[in-house]
Parts: sequence; C-alpha cells; structure tokens
Amino acid sequence: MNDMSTFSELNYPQRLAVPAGASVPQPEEGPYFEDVTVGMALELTKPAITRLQIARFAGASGDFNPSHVDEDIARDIGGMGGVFAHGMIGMGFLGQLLTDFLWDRPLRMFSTRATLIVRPGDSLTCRARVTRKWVEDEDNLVEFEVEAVNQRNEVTHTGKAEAVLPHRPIAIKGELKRPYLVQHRVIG
Amino acid sequence: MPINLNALGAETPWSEVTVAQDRIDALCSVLGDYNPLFLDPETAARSANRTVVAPPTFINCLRDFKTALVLSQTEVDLPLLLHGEQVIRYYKPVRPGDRVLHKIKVVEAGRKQSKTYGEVSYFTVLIKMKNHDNERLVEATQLFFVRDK
Repeated sequence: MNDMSTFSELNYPQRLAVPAGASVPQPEEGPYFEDVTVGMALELTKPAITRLQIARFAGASGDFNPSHVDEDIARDIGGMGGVFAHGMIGMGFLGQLLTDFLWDRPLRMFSTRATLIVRPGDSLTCRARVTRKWVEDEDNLVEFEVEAVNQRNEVTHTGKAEAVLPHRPIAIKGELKRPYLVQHRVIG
Repeated sequence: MPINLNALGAETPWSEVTVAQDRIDALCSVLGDYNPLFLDPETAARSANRTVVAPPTFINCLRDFKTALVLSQTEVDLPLLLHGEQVIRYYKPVRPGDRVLHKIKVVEAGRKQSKTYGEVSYFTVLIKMKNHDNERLVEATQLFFVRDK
C-alpha cells in the first residue's frame, strides 16, 4: 500500500508551511459597490524584511540582480551601501492589502512607484484609501491610493489601484435584481 | 555607464509558459500572503473566480528571458539598475494550468535628470501576457533607472 502523497495533493498550509497564527483572509464574499465609501482606509503591517526573504523573492521572481543578493557587489559596485529589497516585494505587500479586502472582486489596474530603498530589517506598513467611486459603462469602479511606509514612517512606495465591484442585489417582488436593471426599467 | 539607447523597440518573440501552482506558491510564500483564493481549490471554487487564480503581481515571475533581453539590448550594468515604477492592467484572470504567451518590448529609453542621482538613463519595458485565443490577460509597464556610477 502506498500512502505517499504527491506534492500537489498536499493542502496549502502543508505546501507553504504556513506559520501558526498567520493571517489568512476567509470572507464569505467580496465587498459590494455600496459597501465602499470614499475615505475608507485599509492597513496591513508586515514583519521586517529579511535577507533570506529577499533571496527567496529572487528565486520566485527570477530577478537575481546582485543589488539584491550579493552584498559585495551591491556595496562596492552598486554604491548603495549594501543589498536592498526588490521594489516588487513592497508592491506584493500592497497587492496583499488590496486582495485581502477585495477577495474575489477583480482589480482593473494596479500601479506603484518605488520612492525609497527598503533594506533588510525594514518593516513596511501598507495603507490604502478609497479616493473615488464612479461608473464607467456598466462597471462600478473604485479607486484606491496606496502607500507603504517603513518603521521610520518614510514613504517607500506610492501608487494607485482600480477595482471593479458589483452592485448589491436588491429584492423587488421577491426577486433579486441588480440596481442597474431596475433603473433601466424605471427610465425606459 | 549610460545604457544603449538604440535598444528602443527591441522585443522578444512570444514565448509560451504553463502557469504552475508551485510558482504561485513560491510567490505567496515569500510574501507571506496566504490568501486561499491563490492557493486552495476548494475555497476558490466557492468564489466568483471558480478556480484558483494568480495573485496580482504574478506577472513579475515571468522573468526568464526578460533579464536576457534587458542585459543584451540595453547593455545595463545591473548593480546600477533601480526599479522606478510599475503599472499593471488586468483583463482576464490567470489560472494555474493556463498555457499563456508572453513577450517583452523596450518601449521607451532615454536620459533624464533625477533629484536623487543626477543625470540617469532610463528605459521602460512593456510586458504582455495573452492566451491562445489571442485574448489579453495582463499587461504591465516597468520603468527602470540606471545610474551612471
């Protein structure tokens, strides 16, 4: 009898060796357009970035620029005082902040600008704030301004994101309708 | 050292890659992002996506030949390279098992004044990802600065 499991058959806490107590979002469903208000704020503080994490990100992304993984080259040739984290690590953290909240609601656009180098030992706090809600054709869109700051409150990343959120269905004569269709019926 | 500004327009051919769950696992693990929508088929099946999808910055993991292009065409001295800005646009979800096509093109290259580093070279690459039905999945632009010394 073969009781071996293939790697792909393991559940994800086993595959990723998820640490005990790690934050795992488990909402029933994503937010609706009506749930989001301009000014709404989100925040996520990540543990301090380690050299090992930077090396693992190089492996995951394929970005082995020596500025991130080779202390001698980063210091002596790069002139940056030593290795620093990929800017995309901070963008990944900001993406986590957004998708923890949005759940299965799709992003349409996500942009970041790296404004300050992040060193091993720096801890980033990621923030997002809803700055605009609007309707474009049939899509209900929400805009977020995002930023990451280090433990000295210096801004390391700025950016924006746009997400598409559905209307919350409303009951009319016992049937759930999307407001768009209801409005169309009233006007038409 | 300035970059080769004649790299403008350089592009790779379309290249096929199968999106693998273990690549998604690696990215989520290093970020400490344990969102089950990227990792757990059972949870994902109850979501609007119906299946596991790749996280929003997964396009950064399709880098195999991008580095080769950047190195060979722009003649960048890598330790002097800094990432400036990235814009990602999403058209359709990317799922494990998808056979996707991707390519990269240098769409901007020049010299500019930086507040921090003085005069620098810069270049922007456009990364495209599409499926075999020619539908756009994800597109990203990445702006890089290269210090002279």
